[in-house]
Amino acid sequence: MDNLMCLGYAVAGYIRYWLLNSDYKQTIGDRVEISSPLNSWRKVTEGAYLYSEGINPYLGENFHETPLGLFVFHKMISNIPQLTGFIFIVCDLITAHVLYHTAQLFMSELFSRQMREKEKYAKDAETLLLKQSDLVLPPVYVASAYLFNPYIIFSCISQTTTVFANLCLAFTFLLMIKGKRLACCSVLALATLQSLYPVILLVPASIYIAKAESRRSLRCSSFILTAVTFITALHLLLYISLKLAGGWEFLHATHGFILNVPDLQPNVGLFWYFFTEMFENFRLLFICAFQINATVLYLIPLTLRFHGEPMLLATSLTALTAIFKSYPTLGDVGFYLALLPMWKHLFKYMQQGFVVGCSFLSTSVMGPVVWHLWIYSRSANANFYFGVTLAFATAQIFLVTDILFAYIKREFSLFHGLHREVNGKTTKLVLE
Amino acid sequence: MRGALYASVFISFIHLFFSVTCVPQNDYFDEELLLKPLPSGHVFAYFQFTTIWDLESEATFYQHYHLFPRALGEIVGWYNVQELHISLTAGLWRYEHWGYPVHDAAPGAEMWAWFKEDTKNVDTTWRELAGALSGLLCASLNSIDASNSLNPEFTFQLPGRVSSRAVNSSYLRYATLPREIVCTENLTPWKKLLPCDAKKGLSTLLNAGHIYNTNYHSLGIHLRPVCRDSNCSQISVELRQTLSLVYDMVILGIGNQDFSIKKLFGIGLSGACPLATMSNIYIDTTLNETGASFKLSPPPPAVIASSRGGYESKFAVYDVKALGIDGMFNIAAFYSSPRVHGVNLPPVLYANRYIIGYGQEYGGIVTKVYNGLWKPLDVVYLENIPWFIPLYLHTLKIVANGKEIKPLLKRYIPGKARTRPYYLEVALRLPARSTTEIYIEFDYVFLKWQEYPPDANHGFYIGAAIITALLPVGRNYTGLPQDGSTISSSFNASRDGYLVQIRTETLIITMPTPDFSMPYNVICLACTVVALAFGPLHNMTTKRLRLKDEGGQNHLISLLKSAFKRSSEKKEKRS
Repeated sequence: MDNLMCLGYAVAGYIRYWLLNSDYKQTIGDRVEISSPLNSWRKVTEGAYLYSEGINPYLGENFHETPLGLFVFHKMISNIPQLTGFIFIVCDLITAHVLYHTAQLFMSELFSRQMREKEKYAKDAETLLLKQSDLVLPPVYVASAYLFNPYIIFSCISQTTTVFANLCLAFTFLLMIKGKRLACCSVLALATLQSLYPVILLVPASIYIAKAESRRSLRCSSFILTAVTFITALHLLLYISLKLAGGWEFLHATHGFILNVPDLQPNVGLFWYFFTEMFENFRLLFICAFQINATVLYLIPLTLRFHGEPMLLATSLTALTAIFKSYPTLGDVGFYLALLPMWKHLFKYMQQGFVVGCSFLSTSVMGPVVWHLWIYSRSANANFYFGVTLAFATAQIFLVTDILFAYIKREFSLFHGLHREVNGKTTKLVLE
Repeated sequence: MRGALYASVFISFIHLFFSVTCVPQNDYFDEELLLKPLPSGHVFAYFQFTTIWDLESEATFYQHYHLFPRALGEIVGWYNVQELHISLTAGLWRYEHWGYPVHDAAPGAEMWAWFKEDTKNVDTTWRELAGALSGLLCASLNSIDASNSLNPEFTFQLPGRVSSRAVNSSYLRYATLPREIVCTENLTPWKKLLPCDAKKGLSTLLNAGHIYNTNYHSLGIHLRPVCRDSNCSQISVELRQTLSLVYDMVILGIGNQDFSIKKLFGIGLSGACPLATMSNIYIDTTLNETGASFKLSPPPPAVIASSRGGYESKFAVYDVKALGIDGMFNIAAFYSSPRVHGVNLPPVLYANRYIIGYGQEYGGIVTKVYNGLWKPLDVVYLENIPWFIPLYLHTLKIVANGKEIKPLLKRYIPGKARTRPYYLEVALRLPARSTTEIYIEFDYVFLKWQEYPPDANHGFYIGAAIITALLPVGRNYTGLPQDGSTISSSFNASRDGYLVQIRTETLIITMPTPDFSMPYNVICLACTVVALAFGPLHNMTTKRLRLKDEGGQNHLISLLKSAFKRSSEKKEKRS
């Protein structure tokens, strides 16, 4: 298996290397689905250039990275410009490997929990149980889904900073499952500083870390401690950023930009056309509504429902933010798609796999087509592209709700058996 | 006793009366018209009305008006303006064919002002000044504010400096409105600022029907302080009202190039403005020497030979006051052959600009600057890009004759959406006999639907770039010297350098537009997708799975039945 994985990394690395040095790089990097104002390499280059010219890049509208990022990218561009592409590839491979580890740990955790709770399961649920052999493949699938997903490959060769955001997220997942509070909070703080939305992962992370606590009485204090650690780490990073940037303007250009959505360049999300067509006096109201929808709206109910499975909670929250955030890209979508094979045992409960798969495929093809019709041949208009992004978002929503529903159904079957007959009558599973 | 008192009061009153009226009015007014046939067959007509107001001290500025227009003076005094330049232009001045104009002006409206150094809030004052002038000139100058104004550091340093103090460009504001359309409603208030209005003098020639029949017309108001003597101990205010017109005689004249005052302006001249100290008409006859020769009728009373920066020119001068006009007066030029074009020597420095790229995603602006001089030339290039065209400074490339050159100086302030334009000012040394390309990339921006102008697919305008240079030669140069106020001061005015400010073309780009009829649909559709997530997640998190009796075989029928049952149950309950 290890040999197979090594081969996988090598092939994935080579594909990225080849594309990075091909003519497709520019074409792919210019795609709005891949590069948003927040993550595009063009803007990073501009920021680093302004910084080297002694102009504060946060004065303008063209740079939205954190001062930490600015510092690193500036060093990278000015000292090792020929290695930048290489760094992106390596980071992507590391992400895949971290996810592979995460999946391995998660599978063994899943198995041990199953062993623990086996007595409570219904008698005829034997067939549903995971066997030792079921645990081997999902991690490989997770890594492969990251390594060979075209969304991820494109996002890597376009040199979007989503690559680093995904690396931070992957480490958050790994350290979360390992229960390492300080490291996990630090990485999460870094991810939060960069793209704000990962802040909600603090909840599943603190649940995980609290679970590792042996004594029940200490769990409450564990939550508080995790939150405090996270806040301290975030403040430390903010302080470093402040020192690097020499002022607070960067907050307006990064988090302010994410929250206020001033740039309406189309992307795969729902914000751009909605706020293009919004009546000015309702803008603030809907900005608040949409941002709440992307962050805390589902946080509490999902936490209450899935606190027993914090990994699923974390994945679904990541997926929901990837759908509803202000500047989503395919790199974010690819990241949560790569996590899904961890729930391979749920797939047989999913009902909309075909619909979702077809929608992903058709929207991925139609997106560039209608974009070209609108922007280049001017024979279509914005509504076409908007329609495609709507379909893409809908497909993703179906996917997320489907996997959560599959989890609920499997849990039900585990505890209530596979029999669907009550008093000799055929029955149906319904939510009531 | 009483009589003596009355008498003394009367005498003192008389005395007072005389002392008021006999204060010497220290301002004077000149009106001039320059007619210059251009090698391309066009005729350039340039009117200049100059009012110079000598004042004893700065405290008495803008208080007692005589010839100076009070409407303008009050605005200028109130807003603490030191120097003010406004131009309202339609058409593009073609430097390559026409040489340099007396006053360069960007297409549309252009305005710049220096404020006095005790001005508190320059941005607010600037906006209010623009608003006031908008009312005065019936132009949309009121849309000038911080979001389309710059304070360039180098470009506007030179004109009208009265003190040797280092100038602080934070008191300067510059803005253009490239979409401004100039017409009669701007000309009428402009004419009202003249002492003789349009009732007498050269201003009677300004008839809208003929002025707006030209290839290029540009109204200007230029106010600046000037030194009265060489050591600048006393300051005067100089107001120049200018009007530049370029007529295409091939179109206007039927088959010939002959021009006359009557043909150009539709009316003859009835005499000079009585308030004018000087009222002259100059006709540039330099082209007579090289080819297309014309005869003037009546023959000019005087001819001035002017040598400037190594180039000779000749002007026929008609002093309107001395002509003793009775009735209507006309000056006509008759060409010996029907259509002869002179040899066109393009000026040493000219430029043009265009947009590259296709589609509405990524684009670039290229400015080509031509230097025809035998030696390198230092120029300052000012780029004025509105906020909705985000520039990428790292893509700035300056290539001269195929070789990349480094700018001598670079100033850049990135723009900010809806608040500040992109400001780029570059000092360059153009190699001798070179074509320099200044290239920069930008993105197309997606605006909110209410930010698009009414005809959204007409496109958005990018104001002209300005290239400033001090030319060592006076070829094709008609501008006034720094120290001169009237056209006559430009004769034989050889100086160390000749300041030119070239305005490039304004550009127009069409931005990608949303569907303007869609707001409700978009809001509904996007909210529906959000609801698609909310519904199932709400169900999943608030409800439990249960096994439920499926009932009958046919789903639809059973559903209908149950619905019917429910409603009938309700009815029963109600009854």
